[in-house]
Amino acid sequence: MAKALHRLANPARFLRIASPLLPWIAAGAAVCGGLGLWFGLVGSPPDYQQGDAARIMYVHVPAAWNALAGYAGLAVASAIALVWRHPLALVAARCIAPIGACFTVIAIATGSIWGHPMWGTWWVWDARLTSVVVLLFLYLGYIALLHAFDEQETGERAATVLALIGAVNLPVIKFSVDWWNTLHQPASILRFGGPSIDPAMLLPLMLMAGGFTLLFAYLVIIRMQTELARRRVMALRRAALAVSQPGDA
Amino acid sequence: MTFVRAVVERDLKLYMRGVVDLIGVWMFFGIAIAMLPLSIGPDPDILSRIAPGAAWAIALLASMLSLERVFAPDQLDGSLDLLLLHAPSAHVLVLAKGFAHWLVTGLPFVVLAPVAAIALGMELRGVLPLAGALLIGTPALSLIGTVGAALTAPLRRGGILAALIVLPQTIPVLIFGTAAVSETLMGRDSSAYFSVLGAFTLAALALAPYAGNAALRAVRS
Amino acid sequence: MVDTSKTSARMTDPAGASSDALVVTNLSCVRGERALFSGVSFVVPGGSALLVTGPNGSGKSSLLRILAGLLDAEDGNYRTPERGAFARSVGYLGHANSVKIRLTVRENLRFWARLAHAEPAVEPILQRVGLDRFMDMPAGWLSAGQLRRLALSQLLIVDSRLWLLDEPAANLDSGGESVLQQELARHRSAGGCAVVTSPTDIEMTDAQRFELTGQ
Repeated sequence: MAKALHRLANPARFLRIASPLLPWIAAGAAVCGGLGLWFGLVGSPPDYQQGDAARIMYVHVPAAWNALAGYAGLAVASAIALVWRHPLALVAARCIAPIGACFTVIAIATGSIWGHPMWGTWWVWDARLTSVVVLLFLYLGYIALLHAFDEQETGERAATVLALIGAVNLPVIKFSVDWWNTLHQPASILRFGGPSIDPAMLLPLMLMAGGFTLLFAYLVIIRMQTELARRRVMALRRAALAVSQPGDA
Repeated sequence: MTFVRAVVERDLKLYMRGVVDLIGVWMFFGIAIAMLPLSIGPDPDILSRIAPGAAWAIALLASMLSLERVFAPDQLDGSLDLLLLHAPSAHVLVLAKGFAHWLVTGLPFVVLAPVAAIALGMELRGVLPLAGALLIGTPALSLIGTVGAALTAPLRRGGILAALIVLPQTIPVLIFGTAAVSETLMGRDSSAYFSVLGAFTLAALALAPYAGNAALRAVRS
Repeated sequence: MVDTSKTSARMTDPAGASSDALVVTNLSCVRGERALFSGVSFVVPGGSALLVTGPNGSGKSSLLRILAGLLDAEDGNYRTPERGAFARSVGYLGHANSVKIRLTVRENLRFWARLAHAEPAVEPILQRVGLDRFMDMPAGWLSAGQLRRLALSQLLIVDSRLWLLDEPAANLDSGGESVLQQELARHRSAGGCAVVTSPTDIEMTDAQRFELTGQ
């Protein structure tokens, strides 16, 4: 059973499927991002309250969505790694983490820049900003634990457990932070009764969201390819060492 | 049950033989509280407003300081292997370790934190709610902390890392723990917050043994 | 002597060994991306001992930790003996001594005795390993050899059928070594079995030998 799964998780198979996809993902990210930027910066009206400043939303919101989706991906990969001991899932999880953390930093930075004209200050302890900061700490804790051990495998297993604890706790944290801060704006895209946002703004937002997601996937696959190649190099070097020094393991 | 009692009593004895470290934890709490008026200014209005929250947050930080002593020494000298061999299950060991940790870094703050909060100007009627919230909430902190300690058990200097990975997980306890006190002080019905706090501790009691078991299995070698 | 119907009922596993034996079948172990050993099979019947030798990093400790249930094997399986007349099935003496230097010698042993429900045995066992004079001293005052004896006493007090001893002679003085040999002999004559690791081939009366070569 476990062995059958290991065959499915074969890195060579992953590379065979992922490598030809990669250029298409890159092209998709470029097209979505390019169109999204054009519609966002030129082809859409300024916000009637916030003016042109609101256009940063086309970067901020997709980054925040991907930061959250990245953590979900991290948790799913960790669950697969823990339950089915899927070796590729461990590689996926460790490759998602730094990219998710970067998207989180982008979301925080753009949120802060957006907040400056709106609130007159660079930072407000509003529920969503605070949640994203907590998300960043979850990512950073995962990365720190991943690299804290001498043996790479031990770090991966420990970080896997931490990612799942975080995934279970994240809704509770989100609920607590929301409750703690009732001053936040209502989430306007997924609000009950349909989107309240103007369609002219929704189109670039969705394009940018698609572009960011494809970019995220592109970066994760590149990192996974690199990580698999690195492991292969390590294995080859170890094998070479064993050949050159027989009997001295 | 024999196992839990034996482990808790042994851990307490070990904590007490190294009581200087524990006193350090309690002193950290006192000094950090004293730093607040020195940094924020002695304005009684501000200090009394932040008193319960400051006491909670600093008690939380202080209790993280001793996570390094939950599993790491046992891992280092090999006792952890024997404990796991003797334990009815690793889940029970996690509970026993969490309980011992709570006795030395949770329970003391049930007394110390209200004293500190009063020193910062909290009204006397806040004492019982603050002590109660800490009594209900700190077991969750120790249990979550024990899982973090398990994840960092083989690391030589795992204390800071343990705190780093545990603190974000304790945010809900901190939020509802402080809200329970401040709502009471504002004269509002705060029983719901105490209930939520109790729910967190019960959830931690139910889940931490599994998480701790998974953590111990993950880092063993 | 033995009721034959009972014996045959216990002879259920393919190796044909009875329930008082340790049976290891095709065990393999991978640490990190390195295979430590694979296809390890042996049977250690009650009353006998197995000496596992091999260079550092060949997986001796990992083998014992797998048998103790502290580590998962990559493949293969093993069956530890039923405890029978013993208090427990498996006892383990690791590389580290599991000694708390802040507790006294007696307190150290009494803790493990409590877990094994064997508190009255504390003082006799400290006598057996020759630590009775140090009973109320902090364990931190002991020499390396004495600490190893204390670790050995923690194994003795549990009274388990299968002993897994990871380099038990390391740091042990010559007096301690003879204590170890005596206790092993006593354990085996009571029907217990043992797996002992050592970096080099050591003197062990009437023991099977198994060498891990490292791959």
